[in-house]
Amino acid sequence: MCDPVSIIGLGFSIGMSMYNMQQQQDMASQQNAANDQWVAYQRRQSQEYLKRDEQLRLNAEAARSGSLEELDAKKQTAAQEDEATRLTKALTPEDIANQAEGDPNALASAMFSGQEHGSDEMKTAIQGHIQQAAIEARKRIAALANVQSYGGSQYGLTNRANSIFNTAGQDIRLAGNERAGQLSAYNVAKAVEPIKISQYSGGAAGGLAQAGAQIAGTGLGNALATSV
Amino acid sequence: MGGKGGSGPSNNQMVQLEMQRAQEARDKENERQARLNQGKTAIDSIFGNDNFGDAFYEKYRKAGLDYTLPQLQSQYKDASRTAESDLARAGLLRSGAAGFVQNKLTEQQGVNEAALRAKADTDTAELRKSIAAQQQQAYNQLYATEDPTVAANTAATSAGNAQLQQPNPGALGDMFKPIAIGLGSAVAPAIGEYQANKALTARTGRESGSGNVTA
Repeated sequence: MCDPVSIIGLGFSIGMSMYNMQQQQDMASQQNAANDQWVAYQRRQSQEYLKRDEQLRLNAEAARSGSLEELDAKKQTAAQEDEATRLTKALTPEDIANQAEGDPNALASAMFSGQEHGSDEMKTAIQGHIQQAAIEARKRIAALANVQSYGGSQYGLTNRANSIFNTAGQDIRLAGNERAGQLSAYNVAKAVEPIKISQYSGGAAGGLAQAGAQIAGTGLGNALATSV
Repeated sequence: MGGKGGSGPSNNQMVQLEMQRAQEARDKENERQARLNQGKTAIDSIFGNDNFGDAFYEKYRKAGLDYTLPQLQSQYKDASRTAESDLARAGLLRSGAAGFVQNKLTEQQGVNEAALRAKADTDTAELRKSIAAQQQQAYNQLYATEDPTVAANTAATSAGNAQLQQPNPGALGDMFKPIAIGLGSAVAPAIGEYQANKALTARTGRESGSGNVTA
């Protein structure tokens, strides 16, 4: 028969082992919960980052596509024609415009003093020369306006394109800069690690279980030796 | 994420600190972006139409023309007066020749004035580029500092400098080609030279030499 001490030791050892196992399961479950929370945190951070990043990318894309739209051939042609019209008006002196239109006052003002007393025939002939010259000048000025409208005038194609690119470029740059900043902030969040629960080493319960097992083992050994 | 540490040690506090730092980084970034947007708005406002609109550039263009067009008008008047005198001297003031001369003068006047107006327009376009370049510089500094206040001050300074642009003050040079009217006008310089030399020869008794008048 087993002595009572051995029975108590055996029971104690089993109890302590079960307690130890339960503690370890508890730790594992705590670690799982911590991991789940970490995953949820990282997922939330990632989703927020991706959402914000996509919004900023869309801002940049809107600026890029908007500028491209303004620079398509049809709009550039229309802009060039508008600018040529503006320049033709801006470059043509008022006198020349009036003379070319045959304005009698403008033609008379271009005549030399002394000519006004001449015959009507003579005056008409000279004014015809002046009008013809004004018409020729106006043609050349229109050609000049046309050439200027493609390049270096105020609203010419070059300045227009530069202005459009600058505006869009700043919007793209701002979005890009903000995206980089968002990424940096997100990287800090990505570096957050899950809580690490220290694994249960057994501690006192393990020692007690070991001591109980030792007592039980000794008692059982003695009992077996006696019976044999 | 706040699990129990059990009986053993836990890095819960470290994790909380990391999360706090992540939140701080996000907050800081949001503040930085707010400053960027604020700074960009300030720059856009300073370089916008209220300060650098068409009226500003038109003022510059007009100032340039106010400087050059009077020179052109003056030269035109001189050329007209000379032509008128030559025509009158030649007795051609009311002839077809006068019409030819007036034709040439009118065309030259129109084309010359248009060229000056075109130059004023391209100068104004350059001013626009200059202002745009300063705006870009203000943006650059904004991104470099991420401080909208500094960027706004820089933009204001640049805006002040931009107003110092001056039109080209150079003289125009001769804009009208001389038109020879009548034989007398065409050979007048040669005749004048001949007469001057003849007078000198009569006074000195020498033949033409180093003392000659040449045109």
